Amino acid sequence: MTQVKIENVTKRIRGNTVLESITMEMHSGKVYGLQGVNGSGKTMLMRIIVGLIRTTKGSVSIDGKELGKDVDFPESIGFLLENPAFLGRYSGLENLKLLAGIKNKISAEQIQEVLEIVGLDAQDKKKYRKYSLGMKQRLGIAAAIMEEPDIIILDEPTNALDEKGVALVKKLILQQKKRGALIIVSCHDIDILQEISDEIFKLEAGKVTEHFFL
Amino acid sequence: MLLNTVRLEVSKALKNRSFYTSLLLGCMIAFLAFITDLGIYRNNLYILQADAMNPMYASSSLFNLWIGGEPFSLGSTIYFFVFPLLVTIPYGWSYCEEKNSGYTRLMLVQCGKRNYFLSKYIAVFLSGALAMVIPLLCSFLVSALFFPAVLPSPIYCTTNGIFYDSLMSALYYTAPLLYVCIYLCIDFIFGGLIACISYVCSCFVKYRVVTVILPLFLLLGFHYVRQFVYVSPMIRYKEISPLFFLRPVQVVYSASWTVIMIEIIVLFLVTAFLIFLWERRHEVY
Repeated sequence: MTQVKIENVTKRIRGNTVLESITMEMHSGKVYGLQGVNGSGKTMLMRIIVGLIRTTKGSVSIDGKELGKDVDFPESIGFLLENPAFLGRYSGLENLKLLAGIKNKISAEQIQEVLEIVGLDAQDKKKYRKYSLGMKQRLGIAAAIMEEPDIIILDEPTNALDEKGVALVKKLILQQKKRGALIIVSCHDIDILQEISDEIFKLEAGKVTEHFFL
Repeated sequence: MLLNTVRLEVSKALKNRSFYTSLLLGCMIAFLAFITDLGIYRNNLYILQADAMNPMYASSSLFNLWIGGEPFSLGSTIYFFVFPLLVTIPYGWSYCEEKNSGYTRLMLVQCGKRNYFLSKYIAVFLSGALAMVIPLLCSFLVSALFFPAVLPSPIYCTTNGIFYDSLMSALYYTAPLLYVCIYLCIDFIFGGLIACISYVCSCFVKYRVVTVILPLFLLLGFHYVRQFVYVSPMIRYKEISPLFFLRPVQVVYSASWTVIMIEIIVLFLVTAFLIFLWERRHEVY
């Protein structure tokens, strides 16, 4: 049972307050939606949960372990933040193999399966730099879910995807939720967010202004 | 996990087009030197063929007719001037590229900060070290196919460029192959460390090209400082500029173990410390 506890988190960058006194509690097996306009602090909050950025004040704990103090990053996390970024000179499959080779948790066959699940051809030798935006997004989602992490963070996962792609992302998120993962999703489309989320946090100018249960 | 990350980074460093390009450039320059050396040897053949017992037999040998053994060919001059570029081209820029594209985010979370930065240091070091040494080694081996490995004679010290006070001069005139091997090791270490300067630069600058050329300018700057150190024409100074002392043939002043060791230690400590500091303080946006 994974638990993410965000306590009174404030982030200031060069005097600007990007996040202010954010407090949230999240549990596994649920989908949490982050809603807000551009610059409201959704991505920054996600970066903090991933452990890439330290808080100015407050703390983020994953299963009781404080990020930046007890651990640098959550032990089991998959994420897609902003634009997916892979090595342009390798194909999608090669990129995922390189990443998966670090933890050695999954086999080459499992990686191929994940690629097929997100709608990419595992045998495609095309280099990542030649991928379309939609293909890049799909590969980013594949990287986030391939090791079946306890926490999945998806920042605008439906960007650059067609209708089929959007439907696929919704299906994948619900599958991962069923598996017991804790999922945090941000999306501009409130309808999609309402469709997949159990709880939605609305952010405005770095503050949580509303919190809905669906 | 560290071992897997090191393996991944080394494979990325050694299986990429930039590494092959650098090797190709290095080998082309080495070949240019070989052409000159071949010409010199052909001219000398007339002298050597004159008499089998010719005392000048030792004047032309493999050890003073390869890119590292002679200071006068265009290839040799170019190689020991541009090597800081050759060692940074393969992988020194990689962190800059990964940082700009956002790929570092994936890597950092997947393998941890320390593992990532340490693995990259090792990979950058290896890529630079190999890019420095492989063309030299190729030059030596190709030269060995054409020139006799005659034991160099101290009589021809002016031709050999190794004098009584040169670093390892006794070794050069008794076991020259060992001398070459030790010099290749020194070049290997410096090649790696100079590539790591590029890695350090990539933490602080945005443009890949800057990370590649900055080490060359740093070394040129250091080389320029040299003239303020060597003020007296009466003193036999020790060479402090890597652009000179990394040549197995000691061009102007003799190399010294003290200088070499100090520069290795300083380069290692400075690059490792700056990377450590960056790892501790840097936030990934």
